[in-house]
Amino acid sequence: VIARTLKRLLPWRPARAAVLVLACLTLVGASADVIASDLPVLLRYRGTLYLLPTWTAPSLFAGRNAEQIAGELGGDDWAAWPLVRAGPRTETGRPPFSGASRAHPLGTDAFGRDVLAGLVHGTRSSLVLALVVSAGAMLFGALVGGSAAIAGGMWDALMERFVEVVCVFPTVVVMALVQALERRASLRSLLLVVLTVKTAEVARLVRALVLRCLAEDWALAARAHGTSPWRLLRVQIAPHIVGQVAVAGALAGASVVLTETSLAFLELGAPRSLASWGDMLAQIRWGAGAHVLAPAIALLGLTVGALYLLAEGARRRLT
Amino acid sequence: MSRHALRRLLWIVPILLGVTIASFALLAYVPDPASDPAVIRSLPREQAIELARSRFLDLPRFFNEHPSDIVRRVDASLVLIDGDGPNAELAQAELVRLGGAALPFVMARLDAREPKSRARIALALAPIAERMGMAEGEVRDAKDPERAVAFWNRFWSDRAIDFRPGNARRVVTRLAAHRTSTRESDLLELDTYALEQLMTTLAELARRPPDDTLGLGLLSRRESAQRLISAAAHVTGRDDVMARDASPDEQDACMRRWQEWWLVHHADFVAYDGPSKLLATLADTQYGRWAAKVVVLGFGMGADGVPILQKLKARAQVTMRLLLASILVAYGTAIVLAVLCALARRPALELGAALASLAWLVVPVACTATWLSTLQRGYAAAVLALAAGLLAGPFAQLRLSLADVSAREPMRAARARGLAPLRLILRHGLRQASLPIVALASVELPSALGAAFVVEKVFGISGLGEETAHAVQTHDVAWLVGLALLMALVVTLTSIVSDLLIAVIDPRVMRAADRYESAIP
Repeated sequence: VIARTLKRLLPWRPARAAVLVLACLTLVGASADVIASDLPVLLRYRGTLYLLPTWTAPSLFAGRNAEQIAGELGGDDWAAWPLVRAGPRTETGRPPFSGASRAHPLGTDAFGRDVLAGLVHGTRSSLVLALVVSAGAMLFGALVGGSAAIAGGMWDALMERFVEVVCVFPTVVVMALVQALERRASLRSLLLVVLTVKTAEVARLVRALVLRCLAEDWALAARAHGTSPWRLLRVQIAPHIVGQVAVAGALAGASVVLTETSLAFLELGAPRSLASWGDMLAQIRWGAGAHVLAPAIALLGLTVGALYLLAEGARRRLT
Repeated sequence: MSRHALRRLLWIVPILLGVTIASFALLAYVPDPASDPAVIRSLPREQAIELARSRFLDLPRFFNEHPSDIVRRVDASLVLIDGDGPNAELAQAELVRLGGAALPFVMARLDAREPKSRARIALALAPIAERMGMAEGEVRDAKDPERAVAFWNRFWSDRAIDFRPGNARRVVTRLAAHRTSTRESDLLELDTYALEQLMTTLAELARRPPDDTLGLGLLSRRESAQRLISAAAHVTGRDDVMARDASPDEQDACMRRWQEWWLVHHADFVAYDGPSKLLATLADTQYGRWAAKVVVLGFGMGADGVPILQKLKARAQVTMRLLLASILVAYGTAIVLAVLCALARRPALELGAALASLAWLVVPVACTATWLSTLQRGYAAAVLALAAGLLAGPFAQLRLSLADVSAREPMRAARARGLAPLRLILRHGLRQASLPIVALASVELPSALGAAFVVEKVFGISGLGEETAHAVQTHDVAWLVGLALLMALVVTLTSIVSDLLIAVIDPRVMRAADRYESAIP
């Protein structure tokens, strides 16, 4: 049923592949604790059975790594371990940038932490960030830009000023300021700042595109025909501009991770406790090799490429 | 066209207002040490008040219904002195601090009071007489409860004529421009009444280059400033005088400190009349004072004591040059690549180009720059690295809009007439298709700044990035705000240029905006 609905919604095959990719990434992000964690997936400890103790009993083994936990297990106890027995922030004691081994399939990073663990846990935060920023920027940007171009007058002037005021602030400087002020760096402020900036950028683009469409003869003809401007925007202008807006949206999704990378690379703001692709990419500062960078770049590329194909699919369906 | 340009230029004002309000709002979240109760309790009372005032914490944020000038302060302290309550001593100190500037208002209110309170108030004024450098007998009179009122009445009937703006201006100008010492005693007598004029002259002096002189040129700029500042220091009791052998930088710093102090305290020594009172409802607010500080003092001092404006100027040049060069390279390359793509006109290639540009986009600048720096170091390599980071956005947009434009009637007609594809694209397509990237170019600047910081760090160029990283570590908020405002100004100007450029490329955009404004009620 799902396949059939998808087929009807997205007749273009690459777009369906993109949905599949995004679903896989979401699955990876959701099951990060099953793939890599300090704690076992299933654990019997002193007569009690724990499922995913990371979530159900986080205080049980606080501050201990997998080896210590394994040492504490008694005769009756048993544990089902995840694929990688290390969390994203656990320093494994191996030398930094060591290559692939059985315990650490993708090797270790600049602090001797497991790369695979960092990647899968990073997927959770980075994917959410990228998707939210991408969707939010397209939605709000189209709303603001489209309504400004169509309504004109006071509203247009007001929205344009808002967009300009937001756009003139460099994201990195604002983030630096926010992180200098905040006691603890949070993803929420990053999300808010980048989303606002990207919304403004998309709104600007949409407004320019809609105004250009309105100047076309077919738009004028439709207006003369009595089509209301809002209907004109929805039915006739939207298919014309959706391609460019979608590209802008996909780029916005990438930019949040890239901004995070820049911030971490420039050492602006406090280090976060949460793993993310941006953090991983910024390890080039310590001379990280391809085995650390390439997977993160590939995952980011997959996400953005999937978003782009999805947008392209939507465009093909609309036109 | 010119109407459009003019209207566009006028819009700068609200944008800058919005930008400053946004920065101020952001700053409102700064955990201010002056608002921390533990810090305040650890300081003596005067210092705590001073600290709060220097951060404008005594003022409302955006609107001041009752701006407080010297008249309000005088009235408040007179009431307290009259009441003889526990705060009377504080009120006396306050009256002394207000000094000569308060005399016109104190004397005018003195007669209306009963003899007992009159004596109390007159007695409270005694330290002012001392500060004015009066003869010993006169000071003794002022300190004597029996004779204080008579003393001040006598003083006022003799000297009231001196307490006029014209006289203050004359005295201060003479002090600053002539070498005679008698003028100093004239000035002492006016006490804080001359402060407004002192500070105006000092601000004028601060604007001049270090080797310039005032008036007849009898005194050097340093000497003039020194005399003005020592006079101001005497009447205010502020211990901040300019040393005789101060270097030009130290002179500027000292004058700047005094200007900053005056910005905070000028309302204590000046009476508001109608229009200035109206203005003060907006200016005597946290936002108003903060904005005034930004405009008058150029963002103030950095954490390392160097004026922010000076640092910004030096660093911004480096970064802006790098950015401009890279943007030119990136957009030039993007145009060439997009035209090549449009010439090929194959669906498979289109999709491939789209995915390639996306793939290129997700490689962080930090990675490309680091890799490039291992191959080649130097300025050209830095420009290339930054350009590589900026390339993907304009390429993707331009490719799409070229594809969109070439499907339209005029292009199809031209193609049917047999125009060569390259010529077609260059003559007809590119002009239309360049609209989105011209719009993009102006918004690109702030986001490109982050990339520029990264490239600067990789290639060891000491531009804005280095200073910003330093500022974040030392919590130098003044620098960050200064930088944000500077970038805001630059981007505002470039966005106006880009808007005008769009109107030049395609006048229909402008007309469409006008038409729709008039067509829709």
